[in-house]
Amino acid sequence: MKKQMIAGGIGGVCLLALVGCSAYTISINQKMYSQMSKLQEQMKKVEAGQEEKSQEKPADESELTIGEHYHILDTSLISDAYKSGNTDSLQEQDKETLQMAKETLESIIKPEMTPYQQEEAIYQWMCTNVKFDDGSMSAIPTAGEFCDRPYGVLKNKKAVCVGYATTFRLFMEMLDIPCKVVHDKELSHSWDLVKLDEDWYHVDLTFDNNEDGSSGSYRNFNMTDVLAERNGHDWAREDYPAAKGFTYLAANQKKENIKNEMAVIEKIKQMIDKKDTCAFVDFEKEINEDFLTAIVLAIQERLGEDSSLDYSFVPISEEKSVFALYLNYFSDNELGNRNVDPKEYDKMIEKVDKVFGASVNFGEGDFAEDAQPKE
Amino acid sequence: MRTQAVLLLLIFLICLLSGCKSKESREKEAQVSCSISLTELADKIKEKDATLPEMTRAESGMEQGKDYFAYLSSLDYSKIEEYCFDYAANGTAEELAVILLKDKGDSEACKSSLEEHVHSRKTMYDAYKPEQSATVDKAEIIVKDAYVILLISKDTQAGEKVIEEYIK
Repeated sequence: MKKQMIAGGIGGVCLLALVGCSAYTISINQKMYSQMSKLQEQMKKVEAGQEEKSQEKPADESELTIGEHYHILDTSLISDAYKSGNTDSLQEQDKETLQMAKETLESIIKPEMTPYQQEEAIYQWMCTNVKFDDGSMSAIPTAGEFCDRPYGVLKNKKAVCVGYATTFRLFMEMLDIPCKVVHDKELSHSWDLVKLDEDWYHVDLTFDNNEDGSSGSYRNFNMTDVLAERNGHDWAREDYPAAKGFTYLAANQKKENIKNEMAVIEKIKQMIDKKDTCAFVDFEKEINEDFLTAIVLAIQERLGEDSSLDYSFVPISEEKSVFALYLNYFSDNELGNRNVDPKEYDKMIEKVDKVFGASVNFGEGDFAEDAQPKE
Repeated sequence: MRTQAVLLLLIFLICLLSGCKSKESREKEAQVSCSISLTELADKIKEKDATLPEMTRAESGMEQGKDYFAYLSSLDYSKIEEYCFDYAANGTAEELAVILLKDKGDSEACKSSLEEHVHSRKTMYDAYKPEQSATVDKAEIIVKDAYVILLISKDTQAGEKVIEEYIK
C-alpha cells in the first residue's frame, strides 16, 4: 500500500509533460498504454497469488514502467558501443549520452582502481552531482524531461529513481561490472544490484543523495538482501540473484575501531566538524547498545531541527554488527540566517548546558538502568 | 393529445429546474457562504501564512482543471462546483486547496478523499524527503457546509483564521 501511494505521488508526474509534448508524446503514450496493460495483468496475477517465475520476464527489467510513467530503458547499446568503440548503431541521443558518460568516467576512474573502487567513485559522483528531481514531488508533478534515463540525468543532473538506477547501471556496464536494475513489487521504485567478485549487492542512489550535495550517505550503498529489506526495499526475490556477501558492505569497508561507547561522542563531533555524512564504528569490546542510543539522542537534541543524526546496527558477518551513524541535513547551527555570532552561540549553549544540565535524563525510568556503559 | 403535450412539457420543465440549479441557488441553500471568490480566499490565506513558499495554482477555470483535480482528490469531478488548488512549486509539502461542492451532501466523501491524498503525500515524503513529513503531519481538513478546505502548512492556524473570517 505504501509503495502504491508513492507510485501515486511520485509516479503521477508526467501527465503534465505528456499533455504538453507533441509527436513524441503520442508515441510514448502508445508505448505506455501497452506497457501499462501488461503491468496491470502482472499485478492481477500477483494479487491472486498466481505469479510464477517466468522465463519470459527478464530480470534485467528492460522496458518496464515504474511509478506509472518512468521507463526502465535498455542501455546496453550505449555500453557496447563504449567497449567496442563503434558508435554506428547509436542514434544521436545515445551518442550524446555515451559522450557524457565517457567524459565522466575519464574524470573519476583511474586505471589502478579495483571494481569496488570504481563502483564507489561512480556512486560518489552521482550522489554529489545528480540531484533528486524535486518536480516529481510536487502535488501536481512536473519532473524534468528524460529524468528517468541516462541522457536526461547526465545532461540536466536531475533524476527520479529510474534515472539513478539506469544511469548507474550504464556506468557499471561500461566498466564491465555486472549490474541489474531492480524494481519493487508495486512497480513504484527501482534501484540496482551490482556484482563484485562473486557476490551481489543492492545499491540505491535515490535515498543516499544528500540535499547539500556533500556526498552519499552510504546508507543504501552495497547492501545485503537483509539490509536492503530493513531499509524499506521490497522486491520479488525469486526474480533476482541473492545478495548475501559481506565483503563490500559500506559498513565493512569503512568501519573504524573505537575504544568504547564514550569515544563515540568525539567521533560524532568529528563528523560534524568535517561535515561527514556517515561513520561506521567497530568497538574493541562488547558494547551496550542502549547506551549508544542514549548518546545519539543526547547529541541529536543539540543539533536542532535542521539536522538529523540517525544510527543503526549493520551486520557485517553472521555474528557481528557495526554501529553506523548517519548525519543528514546538517546546517552550522539551528539559528539559520539569524544575526548571531557562532562563537557567542557556542558559549551561550555551553552556559545553558551548565545551568540547566543535560536535557536527556538518565536518572529515572527503565531506560536509565540499561543505559550504562559496559565496564 | 394537446393535454398530454402540455403535461410532458411541464414534467420536462420541472426536471430541468430541479436538476440544474444555478450556483447562486446552491449557495442560497447552503447554510454558509464565502464572501469572496475561492481564489481570493486562497490569496488571503497565503498573505497571512508567512510559512508558505512560492506556490503554483491549479483551478477549475483552467482547461486542464479536471485533470489537475485528480491529483488532489478522487471525488468525481462532476460533483465539484469549483476549486482552487495551490501547491508548493519547489516540491516541498505545503498545499492549500479550497473546494466548493455542488451538493453539501458530498462533503464527507470529499473530506475522505483529501485524507487519502494527505496520507499518500505523507507516505511519499516519509520515503523521499523525511524532513517534509512534519509539515504534512500538521495538515487540516476543514468542512464548512459545501466548502471543503485542505491546509498543509507549518502554520495552519493562520489559514484557519482567514477561513473563519470569510466563510460564514
